[in-house]
Amino acid sequence: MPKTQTKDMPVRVSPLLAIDGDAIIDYKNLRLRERKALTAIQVLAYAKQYETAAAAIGKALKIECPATPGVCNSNEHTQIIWNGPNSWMIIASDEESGRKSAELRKTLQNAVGDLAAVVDQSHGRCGLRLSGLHASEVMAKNTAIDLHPVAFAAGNCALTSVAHMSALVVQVDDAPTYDLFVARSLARSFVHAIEHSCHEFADD
Amino acid sequence: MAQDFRTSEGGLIDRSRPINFEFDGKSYQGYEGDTLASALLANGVHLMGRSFKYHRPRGILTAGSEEPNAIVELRTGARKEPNTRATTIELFDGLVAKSQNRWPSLSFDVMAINNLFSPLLSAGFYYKTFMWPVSFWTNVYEHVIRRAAGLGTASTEADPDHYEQCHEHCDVLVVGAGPAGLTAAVAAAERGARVIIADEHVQLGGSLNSEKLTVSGKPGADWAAEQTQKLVAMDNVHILNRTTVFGYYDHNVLAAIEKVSDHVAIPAAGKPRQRMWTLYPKQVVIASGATERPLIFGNNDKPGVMLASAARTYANQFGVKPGSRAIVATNNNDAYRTAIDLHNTGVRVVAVVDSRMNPDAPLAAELETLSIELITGKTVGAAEGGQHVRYAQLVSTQGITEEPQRIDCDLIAVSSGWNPNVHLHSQSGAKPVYDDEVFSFIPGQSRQVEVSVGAAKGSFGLQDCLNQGLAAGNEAAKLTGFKGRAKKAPKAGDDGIYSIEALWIAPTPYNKTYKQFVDQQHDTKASDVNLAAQEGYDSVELLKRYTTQGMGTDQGKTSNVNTLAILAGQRGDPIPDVGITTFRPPYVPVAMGVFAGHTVGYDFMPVRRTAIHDWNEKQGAVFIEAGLWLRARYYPQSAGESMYDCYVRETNNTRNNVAMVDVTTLGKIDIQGPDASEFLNRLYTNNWLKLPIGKARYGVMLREDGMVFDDGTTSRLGENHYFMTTTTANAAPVLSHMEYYHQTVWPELDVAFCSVTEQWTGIAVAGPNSRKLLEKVIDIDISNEAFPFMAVGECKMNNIPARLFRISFSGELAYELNVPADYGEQAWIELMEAGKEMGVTPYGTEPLGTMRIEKGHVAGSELDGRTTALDLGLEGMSNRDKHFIGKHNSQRPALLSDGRLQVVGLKSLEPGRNLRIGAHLVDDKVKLDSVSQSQGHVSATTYSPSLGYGIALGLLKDGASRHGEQIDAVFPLDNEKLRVEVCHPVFIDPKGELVRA
Repeated sequence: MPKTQTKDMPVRVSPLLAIDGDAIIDYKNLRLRERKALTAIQVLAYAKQYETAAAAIGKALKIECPATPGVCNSNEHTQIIWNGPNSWMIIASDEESGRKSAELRKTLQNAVGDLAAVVDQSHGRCGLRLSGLHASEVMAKNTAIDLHPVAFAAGNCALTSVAHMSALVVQVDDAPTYDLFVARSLARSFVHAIEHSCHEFADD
Repeated sequence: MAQDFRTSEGGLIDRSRPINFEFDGKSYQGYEGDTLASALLANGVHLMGRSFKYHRPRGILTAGSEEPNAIVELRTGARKEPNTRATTIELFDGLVAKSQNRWPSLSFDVMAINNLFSPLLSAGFYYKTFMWPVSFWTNVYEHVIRRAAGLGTASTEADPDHYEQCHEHCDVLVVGAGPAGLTAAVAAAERGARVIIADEHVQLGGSLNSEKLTVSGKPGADWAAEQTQKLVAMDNVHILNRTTVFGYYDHNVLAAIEKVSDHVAIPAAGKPRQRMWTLYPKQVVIASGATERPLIFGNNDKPGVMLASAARTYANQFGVKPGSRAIVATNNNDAYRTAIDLHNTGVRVVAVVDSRMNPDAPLAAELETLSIELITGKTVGAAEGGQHVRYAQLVSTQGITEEPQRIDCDLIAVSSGWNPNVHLHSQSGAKPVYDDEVFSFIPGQSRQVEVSVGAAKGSFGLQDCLNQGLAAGNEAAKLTGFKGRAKKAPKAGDDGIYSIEALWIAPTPYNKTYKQFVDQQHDTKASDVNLAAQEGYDSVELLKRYTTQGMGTDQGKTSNVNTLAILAGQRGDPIPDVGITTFRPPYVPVAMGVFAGHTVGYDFMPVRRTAIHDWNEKQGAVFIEAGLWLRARYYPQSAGESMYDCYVRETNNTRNNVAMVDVTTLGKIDIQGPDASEFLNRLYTNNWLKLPIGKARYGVMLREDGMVFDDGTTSRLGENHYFMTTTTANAAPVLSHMEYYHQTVWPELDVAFCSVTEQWTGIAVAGPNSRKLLEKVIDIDISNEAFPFMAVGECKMNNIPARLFRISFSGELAYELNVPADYGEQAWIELMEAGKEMGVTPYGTEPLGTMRIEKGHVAGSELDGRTTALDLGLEGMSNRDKHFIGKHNSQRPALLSDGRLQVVGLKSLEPGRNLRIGAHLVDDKVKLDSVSQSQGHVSATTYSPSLGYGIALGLLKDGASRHGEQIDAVFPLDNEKLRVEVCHPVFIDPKGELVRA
């Protein structure tokens, strides 16, 4: 086969390329940034194998695999997000290369074997991190779910409509910090809406 | 004029902070804390506008959001807002307002001549007076009436301000922050419940801020301020001031509007002008207070006639004397307070006119000590004066015929009693009931988790308000899981007893005819109500529509109950039998922009972009919307290149050379599991159990009713692993369809699937030279032998991991390359570079569509939900030996019988003319203007660059057996007719040799 060029791994290009720099919003009490080069693996257990699959995932990642809706368990590097009956989205920490995504997929594939389908969605999702004192106010402008600490706290997740777009919302800590995962194709519209909701807190 | 009617002290205004504003071009000064209405009154300005129909001079009737008369155009230019109530506008520096519905000026209004023609303008006048000739209605009458009768005019410029939506959940929502609401909120919050308290004013306190009442021994306003501080200090309380809850919907969802920036000239950076709140409380306490009714008498709309409660609000809260010489006309005890408060503000109160014979003894005694005359058994029969009240004519309420008693005055403070604000209660689905102690409607049985307290419930005494607020706050907290020790309600100062005797309409002096207004905003008179009833419009619903009573921006807040009572009188029925119209949201006018919120302009709809979007933009591609997607439609090579030239060029380069199209938007679904093959076998009409690994197959899905649902290719990537593609439009519906069957019909199948549309960038490389191009960048053998038609394989494109599919939509030798989306743009650019020497070009959806028509591929316009596989010529794919979705229903006799519309090809027989999409297919005997003989229609059309004439796909009655026939394609809208030949739908390479080459 003739080759025009041979290179190392290709460079991942974010759907938010047009946005300069790392931070999209950088106010004193509000920050929005992209979680670049995201690794996102969807694991879908076959119904009968649900418990065995969950145990295998937990063992492989050394994080308990959440069995109940609305829960995200995580360690420093990895989040296991319950995102449907028998299904989990596994997100690996930022700034990891595409190679890592392949590795994580392999790890999971080996762990679950025939118990579950493993699907790479790393390029299909845009990850954003919103944090600071005003973060929940920004969220309240864009989603109808209850984000009060009694209803939604660190370690909770929801698949819901944010700014009229489908998003996976995870609360990371009590700052509060939220991770928002949206479809790649919608990333710019999504960021535009969230950014606008942030503006009133510029000097706050 | 320097606020001649302002008192030197008292009220909740800040005299150290003057505010300059402008009304009708004249400059005035008010103080912080003023409304536009109170500031104008302080300057002695009473004339605010002209009325809707008769152009009568109008002043200020109320001090709140129920105001029918004092509506103005606020601000100028793009920010101009018509029909804004002067009584609710917080004064700000630089405020500019203009009176409405007058020309050339407010004091001299030409259209006031309408007043003389009023016999022509009675209820339903536009149905009667302007009937003939019919053609005059749209051309003449409508224009004239719209100009003569109306309110303000909206700005024609775009609104420069931003609006937004917000959501909040809570345990207890308290609507209204008067004495009852404040007590309820504090009680619920102290028990730990999450509380939202909303009030339309800046300062919480409601009536406590406008009355001389005491609570716990303190002035009411001070007590309210203390309670507010308490609430502010609790982090489980959200105070929404300047916020009106305007709608109560199903599932206990309420909507409110917060006027974030209405009190400033221009919103601060980043701040919205207004914000709409959607509130999701577990319990609702409605403490929305009550609205006073005006008395109905002759000329009761004259400036200088004011609600008794409004008069004392201006005196108490704003330190304004609403007149110099006042009388108070009432049928109840409450208005006596107005006489006392006005007196204490320095207004000369000439008399209290009580329609009852036996007034309350302590109140009578109090008036005596203040030397205010008390006249009983009489009421105001008419107000007289030019543009302002000069005197009142008193008449007997006891049927005694006597000379009317004239009293000179410039203020007539009136009260016909109070109406509890049952609007939200009614909106929640409940029915208010008539109470003959308060002579008004009070809340009935609750239908949702709401309770009304205080004046909103018809309990007007201050102690009752505090008691009920406390009880409701405690109960609401308890119901949401928060218990606590019972506390005692704060002690209210004595505010007397509310007692009332109905007086729905006053006799007129000498029984003369006067205009007695019920709905002042819509100029509906008592005589209109009577006339409507006489003419048969005697149910409340019909009456409302016939007279337009209650249809103004104030929604008849001051007129509804009076109207009902007058109607009841006319019918001779008790008021409860007449009933009440249902209250509908919004409680106050809400600008449309608030409902749209952020989703205007750029954000009207989210936009989906592919990874190649930026490249497409740089190339100057023209885009087309496909659902939310933006797809490149064609790529002009120079500024002047037309769409026609482009798609012909792009099509030719595909047919003769090689070209590339972005097909990312096609739906992609990853399917895995031991039962994946069986699952597909049930979804598609054809057989899927024996598809080899590394092969793709075309499949058709039916709906349960037997109609074709979608088509696409599915590839087998592994033993238990498939990759499905759908049309762009059906990406989500197909996934839902699969979810539905898996979850509810075949949960026993071990299969799992999810959308991977976003994960992959899809690039189709098509044309006789496509293999030559790809061979330069692909690391696997793609010769025809190694990688034949319908082959599928993993590979690398340069250094990018990829999946390659040998499938074709254009009908040419073609491949589809999928790469992870973050590499999509790079892959595209590298392919363009690799193909540069061959002259590769991009192509858009326009040539894509042209080529699919040339090739006879059915798409969305043929898969219209009414066509079967048989209609589309796809029945050969159906496997009769297995079960699949829609199989049985597709065999229904009517779907198999003659006369169905079937897909055909159509050729233009007139050189240079193309078929029209949507044109009807008729035989030549049929006249152009009759489509009743339509035998089908044109579904997709193009000029075929390959054939050199216009072609189309169409659905024609029994079309499959009519190839070779000639027929007319008519387009009656443009009077067009075109002769066409019916043919086989595949125009190019019918044997499919090119795709296999």
